[in-house]
Formats: sequence, C-alpha cells, structure tokens
Amino acid sequence: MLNLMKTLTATCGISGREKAISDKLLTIVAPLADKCYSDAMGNLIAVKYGTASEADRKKVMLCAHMDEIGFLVTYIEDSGFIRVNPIGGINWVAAAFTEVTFGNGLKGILVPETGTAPADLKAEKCYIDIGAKDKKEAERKVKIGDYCALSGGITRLLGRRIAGRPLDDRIGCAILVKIAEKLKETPVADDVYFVFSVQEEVGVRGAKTATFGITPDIGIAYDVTGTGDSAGAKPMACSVGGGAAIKLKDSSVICDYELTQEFAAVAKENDIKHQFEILAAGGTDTSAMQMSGAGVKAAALSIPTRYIHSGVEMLDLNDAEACVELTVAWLKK
Amino acid sequence: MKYTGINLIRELSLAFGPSGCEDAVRALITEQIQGECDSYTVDKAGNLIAVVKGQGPDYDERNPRRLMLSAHMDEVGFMVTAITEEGYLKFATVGGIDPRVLCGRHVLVGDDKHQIHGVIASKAIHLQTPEERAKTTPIRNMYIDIGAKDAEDAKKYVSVGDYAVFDSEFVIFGKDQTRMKGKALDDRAGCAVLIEVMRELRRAACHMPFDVYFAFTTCEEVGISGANVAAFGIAPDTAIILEATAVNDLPGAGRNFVSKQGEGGTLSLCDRGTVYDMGFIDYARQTAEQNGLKCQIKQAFTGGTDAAHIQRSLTGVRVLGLSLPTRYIHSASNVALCEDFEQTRKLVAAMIRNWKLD
Amino acid sequence: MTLKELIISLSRIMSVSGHERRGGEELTALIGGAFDEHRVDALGNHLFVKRCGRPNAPKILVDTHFDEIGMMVTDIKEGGFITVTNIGGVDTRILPASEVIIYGKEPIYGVFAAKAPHLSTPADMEKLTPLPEMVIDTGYSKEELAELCPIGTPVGFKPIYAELLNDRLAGKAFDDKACGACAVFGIDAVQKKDLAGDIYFLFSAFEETGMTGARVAGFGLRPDYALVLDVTHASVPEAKDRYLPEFGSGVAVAASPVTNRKLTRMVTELCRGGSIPFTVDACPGSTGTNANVLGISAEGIPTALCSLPLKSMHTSCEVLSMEDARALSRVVSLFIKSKEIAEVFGK
Repeated sequence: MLNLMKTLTATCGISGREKAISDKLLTIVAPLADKCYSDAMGNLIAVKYGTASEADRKKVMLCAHMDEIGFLVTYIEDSGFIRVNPIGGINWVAAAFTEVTFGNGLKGILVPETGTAPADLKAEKCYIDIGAKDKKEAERKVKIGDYCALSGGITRLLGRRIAGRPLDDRIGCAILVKIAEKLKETPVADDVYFVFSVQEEVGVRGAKTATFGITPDIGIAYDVTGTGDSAGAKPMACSVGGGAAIKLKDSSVICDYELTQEFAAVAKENDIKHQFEILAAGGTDTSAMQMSGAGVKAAALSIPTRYIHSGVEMLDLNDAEACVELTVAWLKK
Repeated sequence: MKYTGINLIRELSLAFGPSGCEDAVRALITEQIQGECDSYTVDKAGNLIAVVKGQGPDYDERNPRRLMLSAHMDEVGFMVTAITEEGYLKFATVGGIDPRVLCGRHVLVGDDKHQIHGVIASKAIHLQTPEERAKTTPIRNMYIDIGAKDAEDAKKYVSVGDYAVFDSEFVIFGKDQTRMKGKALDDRAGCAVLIEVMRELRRAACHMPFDVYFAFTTCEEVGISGANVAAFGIAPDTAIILEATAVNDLPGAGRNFVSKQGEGGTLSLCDRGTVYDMGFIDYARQTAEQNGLKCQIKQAFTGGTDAAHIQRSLTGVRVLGLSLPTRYIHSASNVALCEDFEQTRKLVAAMIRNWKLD
Repeated sequence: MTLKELIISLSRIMSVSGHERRGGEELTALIGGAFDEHRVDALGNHLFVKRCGRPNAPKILVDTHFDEIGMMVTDIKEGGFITVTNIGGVDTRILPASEVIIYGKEPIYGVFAAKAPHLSTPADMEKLTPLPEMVIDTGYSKEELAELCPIGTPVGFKPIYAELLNDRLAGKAFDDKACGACAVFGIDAVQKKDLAGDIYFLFSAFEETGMTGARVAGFGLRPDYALVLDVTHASVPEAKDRYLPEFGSGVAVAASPVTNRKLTRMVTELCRGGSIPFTVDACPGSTGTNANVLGISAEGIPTALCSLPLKSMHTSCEVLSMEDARALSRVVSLFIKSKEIAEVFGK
C-alpha cells in the first residue's frame, strides 16, 4: 500500500486534466482486470467479471476519483509571473509559499503578493514564479490553459500513518487496486466495475456519466472524510485509526440505509475495525451514483483523513486496508 | 421572411422569449431554417432541434456520429408575482438580473402573443431621501406601471404569472457602424451563429464525418435547462455551445478584463459548471490560426453555460464553449462587435468543414 | 376513512429522508386498496399504479413526496444524551424543549434540552444554539443507547395533531403527506372506466434532500405527463409583502419557467370548469419541488404543479385548511379524467 501510494501521488492530475494519472492507473489495473476502457469524460473503468452465471450476476461499481484540486493558467504578466485560477476547493493559506508542478513537469512556487494578510489570500492575490526573466521566457514553458498543482508525494510518520498529497483521493484509487488484486486471486460471483472517476473535486461530475454507462445494481464510493480528532476540530465521531468509516451521510447524499447496515454486520462478523461517519460539509461520488439513471443503491467507505486539501493530508494506512478487507468480505457474501 | 447577418440578429434580439416562454423565438427560428436542414423537430421541453446530415468517405451512414451545436433561445426577464390594489405590478426576475440596471427601464408585459407597454417605475430623485439616493433600490420595492387605474383595471390586461422583458430597440452604432446594441444578445447571437452556419453547410456541401444537430434550447437562464432533454435525445459525441459571455474590458480593469472585444470568439477553459475539454480547445485554437481567424481564452471562471448539462449527459460528451464577447449582458443594452460575431461564425464553420478532433 | 383521517394517518408514519422503505407496510395497508400494483425501487420510491384497463393508454404520473424532514443521531454522550444532525431544512428555533421520537430498535421518547430562563442572561436568550450543540435527553444510559439507537438512527418530531377552528388542522409532516392523501383521495374517487390513462402515483423519496427520488423515478418510468403536488407557503402576518395565498383560496397553481405552460393553462381551465377555487403562484426561478427535476428528466416530461397552502412549514405545528385540501383532491380527480389533456400530451 505504501509503495503504491508513492507511485500514485507522484503524478499530477487535476479535475478535467486527468490523462497522465489515468495512463498510470491503466498500467497498474490492466493486468488485474478482464477489460479496461475510458469514456468521453475520461473516466477509467476496469471490469472484473464474476463467476456466477450471467443471469445471476449483479453489477457492483466501486468508485474512487483520480482527480485532485489544482490550478489553470489564465494570464502571464510582462514580468513572467503566472496568474492562475483555482480548480476545486483550494485552501489558500495551505497553498501559499509552496512548490507547484505543472503537467509537463515544470516546477514553480506559488506565492502571495507581498503584504497580503492570510485572511485575504485568494487567486487574485497569488501568483506562480517559475524563475522566468520575463514574459517571453515564461511563454516558452507555459501557455494559457496549462495546469499545475501543489507538488505531490508522501512522508511516513509514526506507525502506519502517512502525510502528503494528494491523498484525496489517490488513497481511494489505491484501495481499488488492492481490491482488484485480491479478486484476481479469489474471484467473486458478481461483476465488479472499478471506476477511477474524473472531476469529483469540481462537483462529482465524472461518476455521473460512468454510472450511467455501467448501470450498476450497487455503487460504493471510496474517498477521504474529515475527522473530529485534530486539535480544534468540530465534534465528529470519526477518527484516524478508528477503522474503515461507513458513511451514513454527507452534504450531498444520504447513503442507502440497508447497505450501511450490511457493511456494519460484515465488519462485525469478520472482526474488521470500523466506525460510522456523518460528514457535515463535503460531497462524494456517492450522490452521483445514487441519482444516475433510474437510481442506484449507493453507499461509501471513507478513509478518515486530517488536514484535507492541504499539502500535508494525513491518514492511517490501517484504515485504508480495513476498507479493502471489508469490501472483499462483503463482495464474497 | 428570411433574414441574414445583422438583420437576423436584430429580429432575434427583438423577439419576446423569457425562460419558459420561448414560443415566439422558436417560431422565428423555424422560419429561418426552412429548407436549410434535412429535418427538424420540437421536443417535449420545447427545444427546437434541426439536423444537417453528414456525407463523404468518413461518414458512417448506418451509425452516424453526432455533433451538437447548441444555443439557448431564452432570455432573462421578469414574472408578475402580484397586482397591487393601485394596479401596479410586483415582479421578480426570471434569471439573474442586477437590480442596478432596472430602474427607469421600459418593459413589455404579457406572453408570446400579446404584450403591453410598461415602465419599471422609479421614485423621482426629488422624493428620495439622501440614504435612498446613495443605494440601489431592492427589487421587492420596485413595481411596473402599466398605466392601470386600479387592480381591477390592471387585471383586464395582466395576470399573475405573466412575463415581461426589456423593451429595447436594436441599434447599430459607433464609427463605421461596427457595434450593435440590443436586449437578449445573450443568447440570440448564438442562435444567429447556428442559423448562419446551418445555411453555410447547406450552401457549400462539404464532407462531414457526422450529422450536425442544431439545438435551440429553452430555460438556460433559470438553470433547469432544456439542454438536458436536448442532449439526452440527440446523444451527441461532441458538442459546441455557442453563448454570449461577459467582458470587462473597461477602463481600469487591468489584467481582470475577462475577455476583450475585437479579439474574436471567446473559448472557455473552465466556469462554475464545466471544466472544458483541453483537446477541443487546442483544436479550436489551431483551426483559428490556420484560417487567419481570431479567438481568445476567457480569463475568468465565472458564470455557467449549457455545457454543464450536455457534458454530463448519458455517458458523457466532449464539449467546447465558444462565446461572443458581449458587454452589459443581462441588461436592456447588450453591446457586441459585429466583427466578433463574424469571427465566431467563421470559426465554427471552419472547424466543421475540416474536422480533425483527436 | 375521511380525507382528514388519511392526512393524519399518513403523516404519523415515520419517513425521514432515507427511511422511506421502513413505513412501506403501514403505507400499503392505508392506501394499497386504491391501487392495482405497488412497487419500491432502488432508492425507496413507492410507486402505486391504477390501471384504466385499456391497452396503450397514456402514462399519467401524479407525484407527491413521501419523505419528511427530520434528524439523524450523530453521537451518544454520557448521561443519556444524544446529538443529531438535520435531514432537510429543520427550523432550529422550534427545537429547544420540543418532543421527539428516536426511531431505534424500539422507539425512544426524548426531549431537546433547553436552559432554564433563570440560568440565562438576556443576551443568551437572543442567541440561537446551533443544532450540533443541542442535545436530546432520553433517560437511558450511554451503553443502552449505543445498542438501541446507534449513530445513524433517524429522529422525528413526536406526532401531535390538533383540530383548530374553521376546519384547520395542525401537526407534523403535512409537507408532503397532506398532498399525498389528497392525491389518493382524488384518484380513488375516479372509476377506472373514467380514467384518461394508467395512473402512476409516485410517493417519492429524498425530496427534502435534493429531489433525488423523483429524478430517478421519472427517468425509470417515462410518463407522458405529470402533475406534482406539494405544499406552498400560505399568507402569514410576517410576510404580507410576499402576496402569498390566503387559507381558503383553494389550490395554488404554479406559473414557472420549469413547468409546462400549456399543461398549466389546461389545469387552470379544469379548475374553472369544476368551480374549484385557485390562485396562480408565480415561481420565476425554480419551484423548489419535484417539478424541477421531472420536467427535464430523460426526453422531458410536461409537468404542472399544484400546491396546498401551508403555514409554519418544516415544523411540528404545520397548519393547513381542509377546505383547500379538498379542493386539491378534486383537481387530481379532474386531471386524471381529462380527455383533453390526454389528447394533447398522451403519446
């Protein structure tokens, strides 16, 4: 899991510009699946067919988003400084004075205009310095429309905890890969669709078209969730290290009640560490799956994560592995 | 009667068509496309959809690919919410309108068939308190005066639920008559692009690897858009959304100009509803370069278009947003350059004539 | 059963968004007799069908939502207290000292804590406590609660109903079950041979949390046209400048960009023809009801919206006028009988 996360966080792929991360994931999942394809929006879909007869097989969709928050270049100044607009919910305090990486590998630093108070930080007050002498030199490396994000990568902390970015939601992608590995060893009865979705960070957009194309019977999302265990956090009965978090509700969805109870029961039976999660602010692909077509039973397993959307997102790999175990046990039922 | 060029935009601009009441605009466009397409229909959401069939070596007749061109017919306007005892009309806006552009405007009240004149009344400056003079009047304090004596008199002409739009002459102005001013250029200018492109494809038959669907859509301005239904029915592979977009190229704007008039059609990178397809944007930029046409990239991520609904339709659609840079949109006086319209129209036609999107 | 009794019986069923399947048995016991079929879809939408018996008949959808606003247990505290989050738009002003039922393994009665005035300063009294900081007092131990009503358990207002003067009714969840009762009554009043088509009565899920249920049900069903029934705000002293419908003014027919103009006009003609009182409710943007999602579902569903005026919406003391409710139920009858509408919009 650690090595997989190192690989997955090394490639930049912001919402709407997921080609590079999609290519990388394809090389990883292709050997594990029966079929892989992409749709018009760029969702990567890997299918593992079930062992039951065709009439008895259900379609189960497991979904994690491969996009991350980032920036698009909108203006290059005479000085060579680059102005950008945000894609997704940027935490500007966390982004200021930080290294960024462009889609083509170019490095830069995101800095605020001198004298900007932390409370006033926003796109208009920040720029990216790539070290160019002037506009002409900058334009040789960067053009309007190019993308970048805070540089990725992870650091190991104590125990099995890691920090870095973008854990949101490459940890979900890693969970899907690990599940696919286990299903390769011991197949299950139902068809499993592994969906690496696009454009989640701008409003759960990719999962919508992916779900429509698959028309699954059941959809499960894998994404990070907030916790109540960081200093000064709002009360929330969910903590890092507390196990797989079975989502009950976030601001975009109320999960299928029967599914959530099923997951809790399977976790108990198999002695898998788990907790319930109710997220006050934030949405996930769960809602896009639920309201697709004629409706899909949808739920989510979350990975409790501190400092989401910063450069030092932090989680416990044990929680992620609990999500893998719980899903495999549930699929086998 | 068929119209072309600026006259076409003029007629479209003058048509009465707030969201949900696009009938008059649809009738006008239906007249304009007679004989210019292979077929057309009106769907259950009121969208008018016309088809020009593809041809040539890359065209698969049995299972044709589909390109959708989309522009919305509806405009921002007003709805009568109540009639006061004195015979004034209380109203709310249909779509987003800044209250600052309302006081003192002439309006037409009614529906697609009958309208009467009215004005959005404004208390004379002499009667305003110093505080009132310094502030915008909120819409809930405004009313439309149609000249009625009392409620009973007003109800002879107007009912709650009736619509109103700006009453705004279409004007060509500026040195060498290069600028147009009118209401509803957002998005009748887009409708005009669609009509002119359709005629051009018909005139100079060219190889097209797909059927082109021209969708004139409803209810874009209120967000519950007819484009959802249009895209579901068409099931396109790719779509170009023609719009009128805000510009801010005014004195003092600096680098926050959003887009500039005189620089051609505006390509959207991202707005509140959509992150646009980069390959499609590159294709548009290359086409412009190869054909000596101008286009530009919108520098702000504000607003939203029907691209949001079309992109996420069915299993997904590749979308391009191309807009006419237009000043003072959502007011009675939208201002655009005739030349930007020409550049936009030519760019769409050039992209279709020589399609090369990977 | 009278219309009033049906309104109260339906409103008593707990159906906080996300728990629409749970009351299924009670629901079918109450209204199943009026229909030929009943099914529940992946999201918990209840669909009841009454067939006209003719082949290829138009599919006519009548939609009201089954779900109601409520709360969900978020944590269990020492001393038998629980905290909750809202499901849908809960008016937190009414919560201190209110009575609730926690729908766990067994129903548990609870009271929202409220600070005594003796312990509060005048400044305290002006402030509203945010919902996450409020607690419900249950009289059980923490351990018992963890077993009986774990995190995620739904919580609803305790049903209390009262008849007010002038045939007006006070209680919870009239949004939207009063409309549901009107629809069932209106449909049951029409003989099969008089139906203009097959009637699909949708008691939809998840309206209060984003109209999700009707969105997918409309997509799955593809009716030819639809009538949505929901509640609207009735005139109250604090909102005179909003020109809201008065009690007794009958049905509020929505004029809106998202509803079909022609169908709406035909509905007002039905009202005129049937001498049913009505007002026109101008909704210049969206309607805030399932009409928003049905109109643009799949190939588009021409939709009209009729509303029942209601006071104190989303509280435990919503008030409606039976006179208006009866008018609404008559509109439903005329709508599903209308050959004129079926001719224009059916197939």
